[in-house]
Amino acid sequence: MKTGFLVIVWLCGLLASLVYASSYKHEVITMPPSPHQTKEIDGMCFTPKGDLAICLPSGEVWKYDVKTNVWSLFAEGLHNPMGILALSEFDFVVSQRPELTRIRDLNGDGKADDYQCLTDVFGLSGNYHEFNFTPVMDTNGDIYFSLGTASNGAGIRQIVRSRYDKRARKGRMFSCVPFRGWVMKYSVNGETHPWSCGLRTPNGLGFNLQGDLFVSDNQGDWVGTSKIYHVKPGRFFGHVPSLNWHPRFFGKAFTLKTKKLDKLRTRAAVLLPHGVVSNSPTKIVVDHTKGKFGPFAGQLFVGEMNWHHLLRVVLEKVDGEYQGAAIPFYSNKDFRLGSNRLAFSNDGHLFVGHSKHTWTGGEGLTKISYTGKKPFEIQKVSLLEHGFKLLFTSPVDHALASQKKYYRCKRYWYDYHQNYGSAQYETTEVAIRGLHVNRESTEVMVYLNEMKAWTIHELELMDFYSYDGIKLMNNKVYYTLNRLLKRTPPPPRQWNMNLVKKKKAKKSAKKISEDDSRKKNETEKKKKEKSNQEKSRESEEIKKGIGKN
Amino acid sequence: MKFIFPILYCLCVSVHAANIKEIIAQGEKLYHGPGGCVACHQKNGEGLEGMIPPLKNSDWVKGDKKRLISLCINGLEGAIRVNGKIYKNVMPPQVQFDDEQLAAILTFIRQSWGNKEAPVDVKDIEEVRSSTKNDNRAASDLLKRYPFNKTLAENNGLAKDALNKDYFDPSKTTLVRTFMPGASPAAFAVALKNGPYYCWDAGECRLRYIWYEGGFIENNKKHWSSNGKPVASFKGERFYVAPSSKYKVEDFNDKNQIHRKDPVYDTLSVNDFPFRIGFKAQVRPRYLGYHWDGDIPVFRYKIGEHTVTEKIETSEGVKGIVQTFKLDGPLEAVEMPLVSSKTVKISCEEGRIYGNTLYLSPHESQSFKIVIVEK
Repeated sequence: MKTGFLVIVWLCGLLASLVYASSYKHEVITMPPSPHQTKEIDGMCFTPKGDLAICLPSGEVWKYDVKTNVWSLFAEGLHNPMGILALSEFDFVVSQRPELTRIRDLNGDGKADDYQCLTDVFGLSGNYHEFNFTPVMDTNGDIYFSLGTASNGAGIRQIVRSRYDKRARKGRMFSCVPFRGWVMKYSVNGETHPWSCGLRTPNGLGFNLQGDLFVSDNQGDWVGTSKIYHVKPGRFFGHVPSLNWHPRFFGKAFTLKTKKLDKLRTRAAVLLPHGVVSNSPTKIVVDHTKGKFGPFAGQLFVGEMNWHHLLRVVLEKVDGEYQGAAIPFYSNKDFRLGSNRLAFSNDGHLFVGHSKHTWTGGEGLTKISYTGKKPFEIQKVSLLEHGFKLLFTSPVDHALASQKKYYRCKRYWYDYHQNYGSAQYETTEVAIRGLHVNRESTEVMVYLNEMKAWTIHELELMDFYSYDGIKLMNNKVYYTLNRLLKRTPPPPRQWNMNLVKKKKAKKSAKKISEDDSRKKNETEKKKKEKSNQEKSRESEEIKKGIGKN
Repeated sequence: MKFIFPILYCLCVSVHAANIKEIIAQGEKLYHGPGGCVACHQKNGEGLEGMIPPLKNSDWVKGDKKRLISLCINGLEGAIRVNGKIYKNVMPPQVQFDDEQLAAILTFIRQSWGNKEAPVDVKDIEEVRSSTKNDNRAASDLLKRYPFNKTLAENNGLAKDALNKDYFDPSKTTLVRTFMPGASPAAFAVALKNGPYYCWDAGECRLRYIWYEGGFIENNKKHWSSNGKPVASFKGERFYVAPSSKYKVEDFNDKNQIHRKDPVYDTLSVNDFPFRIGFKAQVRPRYLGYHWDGDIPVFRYKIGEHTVTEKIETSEGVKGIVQTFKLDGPLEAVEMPLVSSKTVKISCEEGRIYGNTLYLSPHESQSFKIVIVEK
């Protein structure tokens, strides 16, 4: 009897997993017949009429008729295009390495013949890591694009475009030419504005339905873990070298102390724990399909290079600022790595372009479709005064959902410092104080013993089933709790914690003689004076230079 | 009785030898026959340079039979190094021969043209066939299964670089934006349909240099298929080099790659290019884009109030190019620095050249042609 029961349970589980699997499916689409045999995709968008346009690392733009499955070549000869935006069927904006370019077919033969440089006022040192990422357009017609910083893993070229500033060629990733690490705005009237700075590798911009702009950034120096920021003009997000080109801190970025920088920076709306759920986030797209792609309309989808899943980002405004949760989406071993570019087709499919560029990643083009069967997922997470409210796509198992043992919550935070990446600090289990499941069994209120602002709360639902017996597969929520609903404390010290321990150890071990330290101070002062004089001279020159450009 | 064994042994050996000779003869016939190996590997087993590897004295034929058998059964795709040279063509699987025929051919190959290797048996082939059932014809997979020993691996194995060979169609004008040596990072490499190749620099809005020999740029595939580190290169000498006050001609060879040092200059620190308009301080040009005029790209840039278009065409009859400049804006005189060169003659129908400077009157400057041809 017992074994029979077990078999039935197992069969139910199998059935459940099948049911789950059939909510979304993916298929691989043949790549265009590029003469360079390129298999990676670095830019993707849909035209107003519904054709797919992609750009390849080999510098081509190909159009794909989704109905007839026919590829046609539109443009060639671009330099590392990393993003594309359609203005019409024969009018595109591409962010290629040296500039933002408008590509048009003017003679009507179906192939581009005019390559207009919209803006190239930013610098180019020739370092490989200076990518020009993903242009997006707001409802006003202004275009935003983001500029990657350079890597000290390689050098720069001998002729550099725009002004070279040695002072910002420091650290792991640097910004020795203007506006590397900035989000740029190219406005309708043709002017280019540096918009917000402090980014490292902002490989993805995207709007939400409310028209607010978000940008993703990759973990590294000054970036403890990968993040998603809400972009507003003048904001500084924490990666220091780009601050060098801020008018207020011109040439002074590296003289600022971390304490000051920490006060200057804007916290991320969503942190993506490194190695836990994300390593390298990419393009951000909003689900504008109004339900054609399932029950997540209006949410953000973010690509991820190193994981067999995408990320779903649920945002809410607390105290006037965005914050929210990241939840894995479409975890599937068969789904390729390197989801570099995402775009929703007009009929509600999510197209994913894969790429790797010698890093972890994949190749090819994938289409994810919603089969119409409702998935069992955490649809939405929102903040309560003493916990979180989870909204599910279908009713949960009521008895199960009201037991504390199926929930686990822990919190931690990441350090802000110059070193590469960060460990998780003060990882603490947070006890569940109480649960409340609503009558329809679609909402669960999770009350916690303690709510601590400026930390990440990782909420896990273990062995969680729906009313129909479907297992919850994407069962972890990573909520970035910056602000509480009431009485948010100011941000605590979360910078240079890695140095604090070392300093203490050093102090106790070494007794530095006073004479030595005095001498050191004197020589340092002299050096500082000298460098300050140089800086002031240079900054004047540079201001003039920028004005001209 | 004592003699029987040696006699038997002799008999066996002679029978075996006879067999081998027959097998080799059969193999030779098949090798040279229709659909045989000779079509590609040639009569003397020497192959074709760059495409078909030799069989004569080849490290891939000698030694371990299994690698040789496997690549005959499964085919071979991907550039490989054989005795230190690179070969790129694909070898189809040899499905037209049965195991016995294949054994004969391989025995023939392994014992001809100076090769002296153990014969190949039908059993060997059967063995390899069963063990490599699911293999594909990728050279990398073959070498994973049957790698060369350390001494042979120096000259034999995969040729990864050769796979990175750039695609280039010489029958049309090709325009590529990439990192070019001796130019700012915003550069063009253009191959005109009827020659030559040239580098145009969008960072400074001017023609940088022209070259003829050695083909179009190389290493560009490495540039875009990796993450953008390599600078493109080309083999030929530069036919013409534009003047530059800061970047000397001799800097080209040792300073065209990436460096950890400070740059030679940045484009905001110079403004002596491409030319001066009017009797006022020279203004730095601003790149506007380019468009295709038939088969020729036309570059556009702005100098002060003037919009300039620059079209570069092949000169007729003589080795060289014709640059056509058109200015749109108020009528003003133009002063353009030229380069003195031993190899090229620079002339302009409009205006006058004094020393190394071209002077154009306000009317002449509206449209002028600079001809750069071989001396």
